[in-house]
Amino acid sequence: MNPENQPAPDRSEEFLVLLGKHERQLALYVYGLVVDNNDAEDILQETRMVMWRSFAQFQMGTNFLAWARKVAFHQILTYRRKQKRAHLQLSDEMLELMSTEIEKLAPSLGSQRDRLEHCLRKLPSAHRTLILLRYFEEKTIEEMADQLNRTETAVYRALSRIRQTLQSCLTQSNP
Amino acid sequence: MKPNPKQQKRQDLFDKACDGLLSEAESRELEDILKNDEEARRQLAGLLACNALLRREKSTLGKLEQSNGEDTSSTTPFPKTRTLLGYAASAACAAILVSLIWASSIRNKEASPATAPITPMEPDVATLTRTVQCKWAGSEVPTVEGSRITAGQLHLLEGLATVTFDSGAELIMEAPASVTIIDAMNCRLQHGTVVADVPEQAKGFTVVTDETTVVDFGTRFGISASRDGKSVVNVLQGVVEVEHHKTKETKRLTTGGRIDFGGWTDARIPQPGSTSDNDLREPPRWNPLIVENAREGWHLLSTAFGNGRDTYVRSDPKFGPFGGESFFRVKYTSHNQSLIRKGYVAFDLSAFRRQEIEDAQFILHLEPTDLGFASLVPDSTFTIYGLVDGPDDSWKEDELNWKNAPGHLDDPVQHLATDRLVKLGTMTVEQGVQNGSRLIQGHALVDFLNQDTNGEVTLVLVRETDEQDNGGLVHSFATKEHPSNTPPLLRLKVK
Repeated sequence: MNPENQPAPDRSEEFLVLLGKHERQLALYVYGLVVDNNDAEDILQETRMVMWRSFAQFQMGTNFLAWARKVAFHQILTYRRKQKRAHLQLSDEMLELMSTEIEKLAPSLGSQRDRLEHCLRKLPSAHRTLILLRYFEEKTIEEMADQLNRTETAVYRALSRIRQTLQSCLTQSNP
Repeated sequence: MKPNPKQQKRQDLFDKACDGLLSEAESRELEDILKNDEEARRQLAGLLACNALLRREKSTLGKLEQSNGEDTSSTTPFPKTRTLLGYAASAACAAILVSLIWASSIRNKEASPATAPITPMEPDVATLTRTVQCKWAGSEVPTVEGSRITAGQLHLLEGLATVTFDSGAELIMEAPASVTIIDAMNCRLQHGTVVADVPEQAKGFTVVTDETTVVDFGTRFGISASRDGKSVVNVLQGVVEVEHHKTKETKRLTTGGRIDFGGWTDARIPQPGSTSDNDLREPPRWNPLIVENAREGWHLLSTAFGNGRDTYVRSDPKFGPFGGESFFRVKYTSHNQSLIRKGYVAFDLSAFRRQEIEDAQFILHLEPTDLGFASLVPDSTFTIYGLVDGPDDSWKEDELNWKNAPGHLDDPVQHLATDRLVKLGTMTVEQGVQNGSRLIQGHALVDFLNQDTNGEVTLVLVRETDEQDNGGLVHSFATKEHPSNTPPLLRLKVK
């Protein structure tokens, strides 16, 4: 690696501090627009690398998260073209509109890890089990249907309802 | 409470979008709904964000998981029956819970830095013994050389880092790589390349990837894994046992043995020119950059990397932009002023910034064309121009057309803005030939690349040879959108 290729060492600390501070928000943004976890992680990794390489162009005092999201959005578009796989199967233009909407939600959703816990705890435990099977165990709908001895449609509808409940709980202002 | 059919349909589309299950027709339907309805976009965004939170916040789910068994105030998600409650009491459910709790005890340690701060009670399990030119990103354990480290994640952006586990096993991380340290005998490779050196006393040291579990029996082995599940295991010395999670198949590999889950060995970008450098004795590794390291300082860069672009413009404003096409067309004709096409190719040179380029080749792959008669076009000469370094390099391939193309005049006869272009070389395609690759090489190209200051270079491709009559062949070259042919390449030798 060519040492000249890297920003001065003092900037690398700035970079790491800023990245550390905003990494979670950035990740939620990418996860919002990329429905496959592995793809999302790949894109995040590429985004970090591009950000690191072009950090010299970032001006301190301007909005790091906004810059990070811009880099990430570009990476998502690049990834979509490269992989021939549309994550959210929408056009680039629509994806950009959705990106704007997700950014608007970030302040109310992103900073509330406790809120998620609260909302999950409010669910009946059977519903919670479904969420855990799907998102913690990462079971497919088919596997869940198999395990629970239900049809896939029934499982899918149930999950859909629970997600809606969670969504409205998450966006309420007070716990 | 039941939603009307229209609402239900919309909700179904939203759910499918969240889970990546839309068919093409459904995608179009969703796009139509969203196009004119801000409220619908807001709703979908809420659902996507909620979904993202659930997928990402594993540690919160893990906490819940552990207490889930204690909560008895439940109702079933299936209102008509009590199956799930009945199920909850069954032995099968108990088995699932046990497996969930077991998984959570590992996963909690694996959770990402943002979600699971490691408590001070966590014991040290390894030492970061050596770091070479390391840049780290968002790692949750200390990354200073000599640090003792607990279970947690390490994200290495650049350089080499050696982690020595308390069991004696040594793991060299080769950037870019993300590794989760689980305990003194176990780690998980999320993506990247590592080499493990396992002495006698650490026999049984295990590296897990998404697709494989590699158990080491006192050896040295390398493993490269990408996030899409591909991985390659290569035994440098000794014996390892590799289990493929999907097939449950276990294989023993001895010195020199290799398993390639994902076909990297044959999927590498073909080397241009005649002599392939892929003789399979060197193991392939995951490389996220599409910058391929060839031997002796040569690198291969395609338009698929970074801000690379490849497209063409046509002298009839009704057509284009053509950014999404899997080929670009090039033609010159004096018979019809609306049928001239020029190719535009840009490379992202950011990976080579401040490195001096010693030698370079620009390579294009011909694509069988769907237009025109070869009989009407003799052996054809193509000239490649470089666009003078500057803001003009930032053209967008989905906007480029005959009016706005850089280094270009909106004139079918004199369409080259010669003051903005440098001639880099010519290539010839013989009459009727529609396959194979063509390249240019030389000082003009090298000088042009070295003069770049903004990390992007634009090349313009023009056919000099006229057709003998209307309806002559239009030459085509593969772009990065092509599913199988090779995109435009720069082969660079750096000092």
